[in-house]
Amino acid sequence: MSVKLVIACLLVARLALADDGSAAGSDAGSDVGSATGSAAVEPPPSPAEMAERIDDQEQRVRTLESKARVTESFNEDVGKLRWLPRFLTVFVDVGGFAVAGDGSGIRSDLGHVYYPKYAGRIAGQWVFMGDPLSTAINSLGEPADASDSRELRADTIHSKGRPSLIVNTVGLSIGKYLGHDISVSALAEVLPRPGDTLLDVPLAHIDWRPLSTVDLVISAGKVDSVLGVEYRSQDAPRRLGVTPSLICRYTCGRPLGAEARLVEGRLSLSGGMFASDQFDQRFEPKLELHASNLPTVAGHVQWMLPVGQGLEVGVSGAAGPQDNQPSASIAQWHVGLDAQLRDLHGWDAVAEYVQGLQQGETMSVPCDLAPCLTYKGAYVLVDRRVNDHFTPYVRVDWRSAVHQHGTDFVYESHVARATIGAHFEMTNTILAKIEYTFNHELDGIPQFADDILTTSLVVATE
Amino acid sequence: MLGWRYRVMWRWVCALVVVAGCWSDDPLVDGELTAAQLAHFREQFHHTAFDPCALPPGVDCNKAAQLGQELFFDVRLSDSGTGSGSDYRPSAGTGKTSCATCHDPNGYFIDTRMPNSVSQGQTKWTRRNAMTLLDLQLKASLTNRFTWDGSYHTAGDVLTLAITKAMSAKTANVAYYLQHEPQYATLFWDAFGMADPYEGAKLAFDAYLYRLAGESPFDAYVDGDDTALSADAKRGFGVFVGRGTCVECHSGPALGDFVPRNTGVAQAGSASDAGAGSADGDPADLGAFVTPSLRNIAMTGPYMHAGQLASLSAVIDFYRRGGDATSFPGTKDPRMVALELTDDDARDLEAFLVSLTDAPVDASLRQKLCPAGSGSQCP
Ligand code: HEC
Ligand code: HEC
Repeated sequence: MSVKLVIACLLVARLALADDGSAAGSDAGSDVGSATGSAAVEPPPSPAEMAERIDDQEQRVRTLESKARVTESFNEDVGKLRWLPRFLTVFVDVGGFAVAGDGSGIRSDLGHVYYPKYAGRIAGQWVFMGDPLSTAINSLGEPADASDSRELRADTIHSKGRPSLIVNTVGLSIGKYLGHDISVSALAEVLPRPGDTLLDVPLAHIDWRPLSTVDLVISAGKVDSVLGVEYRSQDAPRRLGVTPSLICRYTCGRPLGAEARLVEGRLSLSGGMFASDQFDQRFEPKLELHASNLPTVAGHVQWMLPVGQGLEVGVSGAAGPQDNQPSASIAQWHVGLDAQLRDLHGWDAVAEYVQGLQQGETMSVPCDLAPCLTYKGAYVLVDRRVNDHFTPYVRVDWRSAVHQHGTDFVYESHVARATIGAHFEMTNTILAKIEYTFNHELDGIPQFADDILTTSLVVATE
Repeated sequence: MLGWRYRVMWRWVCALVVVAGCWSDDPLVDGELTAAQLAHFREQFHHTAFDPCALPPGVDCNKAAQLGQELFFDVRLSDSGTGSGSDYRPSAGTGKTSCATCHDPNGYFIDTRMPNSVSQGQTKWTRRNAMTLLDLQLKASLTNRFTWDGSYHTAGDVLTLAITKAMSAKTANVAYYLQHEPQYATLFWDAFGMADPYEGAKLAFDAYLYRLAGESPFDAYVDGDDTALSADAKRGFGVFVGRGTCVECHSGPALGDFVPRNTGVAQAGSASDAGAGSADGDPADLGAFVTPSLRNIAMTGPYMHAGQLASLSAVIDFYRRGGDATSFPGTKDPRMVALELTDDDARDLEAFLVSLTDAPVDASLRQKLCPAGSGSQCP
């Protein structure tokens, strides 16, 4: 989100700058023009007149020079301000969706038919096959129904398979430059849901730009993830499609921590120390602060290649103690590869691969003291900007993960999906999107009805 | 007008839709189970054919069963007596209790006297709930853990418990009547020939008890008759094997695997019953009781080892809250956690449990046999 804000601010500032610049320029130009114009029609001046005029001209030059100095210093100020003036954006994301089956992406392995290895240890009901988030219907990644999921406690939409209209998000993003190269910004979201209206503050951070010559931002608070690239366009107004990929849950979190982002020529670097992993906290069972004894460190390196408008390839990673665990020796790690191509003959593409582990801890039954998770996943998203208004896209994503917790549950998630969709930019403030996702269970899991048709209409103030 | 580019794109869209079409969905049976899961459960709950002669070779099982049935109703087995061994002499007319007292043949072979703990009050022998004697042949084919704590290994073995505790008598009583009651002596000889009278008596009880079996609507459903269960009961079956997690312990053809487990049932009154823990001395089994069969469960309340729960809905509520919180020895099985069942689920589950009721066993097996010359014992 902060990237979006920064870009928005840059645009606003640039416009402001351009206005001021052209105004100053035309002022000066008309002055000069009228001077030369009058000179052309008048009869040859006397020497005294000449001297007077020269004085006059010198006076004008001085005035202009001082004006130019003022403009220059003003420009300097604007330049400083450019990265973050005061802003306030409101957006509303409404949608409609229909999901096959009961709206959930999981089924239980009743009778231990498909995963007999859990028989006698984890109740068949709690051996979940499929992906609980694979029936996501909005940019937040909320599934149409969480069904009997034991990990995913909040069944926020709980459609039970019925098609429905929904106000996905009412978002308010605010920011202010405080002086001394410091600014603050935050994103607050109201999520009106059938059960409860939820209020979320996914982002709230202080940014500091210590150097005027280098594009470096240091942020602290509830900040953006540094893993991969999908987090940059995860909110409805910035997202090309309607729903997140299957791996967004690992990379789109907004952890508490401190991070630095640097762009230098073709190189982009970001990294930080965080109080948790970069998982999307919306889907974590406990929402309280989870302070571990040691921080998680994470970083991302990206290099821009001259393909199209730029092909960025990157590597990211994170390591630290597993969240919500008493012992810092229970580790977790994550690695990811990403590539993002912009505008090659009108085509854009993004691809990411991630892999990671949460070690967990066992006393008597596997992973009873701390849950264990292993995951791999990837997606490729290709879009074609047909004209200023219409961008169709195709995404293929895949995730293979095993998440288990003692006798409580195990998720055997092995899913591939294909999504086709269209993005309509009606005006710069109104977006409409529609997409259809085919869900396909892998690893011998039976195919069940869980395809999704979902739409989103996003209206934002400028 | 669509340009050529759009047409090319639509070709891709069509290709995708066709590919997606191949990803067909596996429809659920009755909205709960995949076909493979239903087939699995039908196999799991199917019971083998009932054998009216499941006794060691060389034994006349019909005569043995007849002897068993006669003994079952004979209150003389609870006579008190004097002496021991071959000098033992019962005091005629002191016995008041037969097996049928606590295993009422017309009440699905449980103690139908209310409250059930009467069997404790009158005989002062156990704090435990009388068990049904139906489907014991099936049980014997699956386990050797009889009684609530699993410490007896065949149905016949329980005879010792029944005679000495339930009936406060001496086992010598049984041998005495088998030798001195002419009708029993004849039957015994025909069935077993030369055999130890007490061992023969155990087999005679087995022979009779193993014939007490029947078929329930659920058995018909398991054998493929989709109409045998009501819609409620089918949904309840889904809950039983699903959200209710009952099948984790109540598995197999008896709907009970007879493994001792601690479900955390609060002890009745001031009693403290360590269950399998005191029987086998394994501290891990403290407070554990054999997971019983649920066949005929609707007819065999009250429930649990001491009849703590009066009705099926009380049992379902007990599981919905994850068992009791305190007042039981040992540690609860980790699978005893609060369940997310709706009231509808609970009602459906109860309908399913009702579908486990067998048709009553044949009347000829539920009555006292009165062959000619049986004397004072037959009115
Ligand atoms: C006073 C009541 C009473 C009488 C009389 C009685 N029983 Fe029982 N029966 C019980 C109780 C109570 C239990 C459960 C015992 C336990 O778990 O410790 C039981 C259990 C049994 C069992 C074990 C069933 C199983 O599924 O494990 C058998 C078999 C049995 N009785 C047979 C008999 C026979 C045969 C007689 C007559 C000889 C008899 N009982 C007399 C009350 C009685
Ligand atoms: C953890 C294993 C376990 C699970 C899960 C379980 N049971 Fe039981 N069940 C037992 C045991 C053990 C007993 C005997 C407990 C006792 O008497 O102390 C029992 C007893 C019962 C009884 C009483 C039987 C009788 O003859 O008195 C009923 C009814 C019953 N269970 C139904 C259910 C239902 C319905 C479910 C699912 C909601 C369920 N059980 C889940 C282990 C289990």
